[in-house]
Amino acid sequence: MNEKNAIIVEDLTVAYSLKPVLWDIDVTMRKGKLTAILGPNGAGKSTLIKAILGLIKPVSGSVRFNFDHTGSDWHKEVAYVPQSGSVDWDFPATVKDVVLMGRYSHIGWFKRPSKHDIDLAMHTLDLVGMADFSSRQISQLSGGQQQRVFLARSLVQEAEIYIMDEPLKGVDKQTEKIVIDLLKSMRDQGKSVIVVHHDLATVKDYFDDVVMINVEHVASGTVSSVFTEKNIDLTFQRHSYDLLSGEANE
Amino acid sequence: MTCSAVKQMNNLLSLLGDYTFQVVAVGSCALGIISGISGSFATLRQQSLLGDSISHSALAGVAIAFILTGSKTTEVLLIGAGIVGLIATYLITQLSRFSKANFESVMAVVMSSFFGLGLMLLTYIQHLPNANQAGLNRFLFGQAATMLSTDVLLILIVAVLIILTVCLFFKEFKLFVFDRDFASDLGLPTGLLNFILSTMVVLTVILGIQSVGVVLMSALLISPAIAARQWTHHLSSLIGLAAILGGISGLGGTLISSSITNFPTGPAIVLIISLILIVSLLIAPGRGIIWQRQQLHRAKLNVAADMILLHLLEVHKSTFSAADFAAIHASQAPLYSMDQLVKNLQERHSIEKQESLFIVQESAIQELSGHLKKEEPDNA
Ligand SMILES: Nc1ncnc2c1ncn2[C@@H]1O[C@H](COP(=O)(O)OP(=O)(O)OP(=O)(O)O)[C@@H](O)[C@H]1O
Ligand SMILES: [Mg+2]
Repeated sequence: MNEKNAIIVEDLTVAYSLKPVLWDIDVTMRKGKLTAILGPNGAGKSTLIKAILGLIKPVSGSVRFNFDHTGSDWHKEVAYVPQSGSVDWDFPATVKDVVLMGRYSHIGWFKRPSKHDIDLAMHTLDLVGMADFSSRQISQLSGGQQQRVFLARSLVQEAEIYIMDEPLKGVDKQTEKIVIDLLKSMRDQGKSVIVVHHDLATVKDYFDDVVMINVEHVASGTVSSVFTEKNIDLTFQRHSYDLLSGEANE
Repeated sequence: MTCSAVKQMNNLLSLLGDYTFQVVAVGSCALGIISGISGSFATLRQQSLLGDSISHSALAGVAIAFILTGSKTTEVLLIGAGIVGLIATYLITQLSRFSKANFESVMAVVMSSFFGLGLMLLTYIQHLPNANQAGLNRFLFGQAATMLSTDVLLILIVAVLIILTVCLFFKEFKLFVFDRDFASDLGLPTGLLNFILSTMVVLTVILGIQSVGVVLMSALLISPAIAARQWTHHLSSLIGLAAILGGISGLGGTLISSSITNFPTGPAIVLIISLILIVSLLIAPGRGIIWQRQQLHRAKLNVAADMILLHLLEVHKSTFSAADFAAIHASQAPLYSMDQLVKNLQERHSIEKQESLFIVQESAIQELSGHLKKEEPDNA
């Protein structure tokens, strides 16, 4: 087993209907690195993440995690930041309530958040620049603020591996910087951070590694070796590739 | 007081002292409470219509149970209702998963088919040469007075179970309802939580059809939660308030229908909860329609008054007379009267009257100074 990899995906195929949306993906993501998942809309990025987290049952294939401590409970050690549009923000809760949800696996059944949990939540809200919003209704947040609340919720989980679905979607430049600096400092603390990303212009600045997919695995590795013009073209400009006939059609 | 009003009061009082009525009242109240609780989760999960389809479908179950067993025991009929309600729910989920039609259309089709079947069977039963058949119609619009103490006991047991479950797993339900995928990532048993919440809705609906009726049961399930959402921003108080509003409606509806001969309970309950709902939708602070209008009106007035004050500050510094105000009033804020504007500024302590002059207060100058010496942006 390769100790350097945090996530090992093997032969992963996922289908919602007859046509697979992920086809035979083999990919690894390195420990302690910032990894971008790249691909056009509908490439299967969110699906890949959900399959890794076990939220979707794949047709075939397997996913393994490597943790620093053997015997870790992956539910505690893998934190997930969903696309912020995936929930109903009119839900009756405050920002603090939502951030505390990230502590639930530590708190356990039948118990309430402790002082430590609450302090941690407040501290983390401060980190993402949302300290003033802790008792605000989540229905009164802007899109960028929602993203930061979700980020804070995953941070309090104190996991080893972080998997985020477009955490930078719809945020302004300043927020983007806050978030990226945070992700980099997490990486520097040895966390593995995997991020679905859309802005190709910032890949070189932000990330160590890339995973490029479009239904199939196109390329993955360090930014300097893999994030090339040719691979970008292959990932983004390939027209709908018909898996069943195995032919690319123009 | 007129003679008939006195008589009605006396009727009401003797009703309240009546043991049978007390039993029924307790049952209806408890039913309203569990409706509020189950309904809170159902609405937050955007499953408002699920309760409706279960209850409408359940009518067929009541009829089938009667045809098969010939029994009019409520428990027997409710078991039939429960089974058919579950079959309908199962059909809805499977059909919407495996067909291209969306959830709501499938639900509407399945619900009306089962309801139609139920009505047909009911008509058929009425034509049976059997004196025993009367009374099944009460399941359409509900008749709380037909509740026996065993029925009430059953409702109370379910109520205690539901309240206990919600208290024990409150945190988990909250997370599950808000963000199912995240709950699953944290390792919560999402399938089990889903099953418990759905079971709560099914149990509530089935227990409710005797006193509220299949047609209107979903109103008692949904309205308390929607009304409560208007008043609170916390899940715990939302559930608590929905339970109280449901309980009040159940109790009040039973009172109305018991004091008027042959008045079905369902419509009486729905009458009360609808009134509560309408008031909540209109005036609740923050979310109420009228409340929002007033806020908007107030904000506009504030802005108009501040605009005038800004002008006065520029021209007259911090002291001006009523005549100064009047001179620019018409051009700056023609929509509001001068009295309105001055009153607004005084209420917000922006200005103070000293003899015939107005003095602009330091706090207002501070607040407006941002607008006074603003840097001009570059114009292309
Ligand atoms: N629940 C679902 N049921 C059926 N098809 C789905 C479902 N979710 C996604 N798909 C399909 O699977 C494909 C991949 O979707 P996915 O959401 O993984 O793409 P993505 O790469 O995350 O795209 P985006 O950049 O738009 O977020 C798409 O063609 C989509 O239509
Ligand atoms: Mg996506």
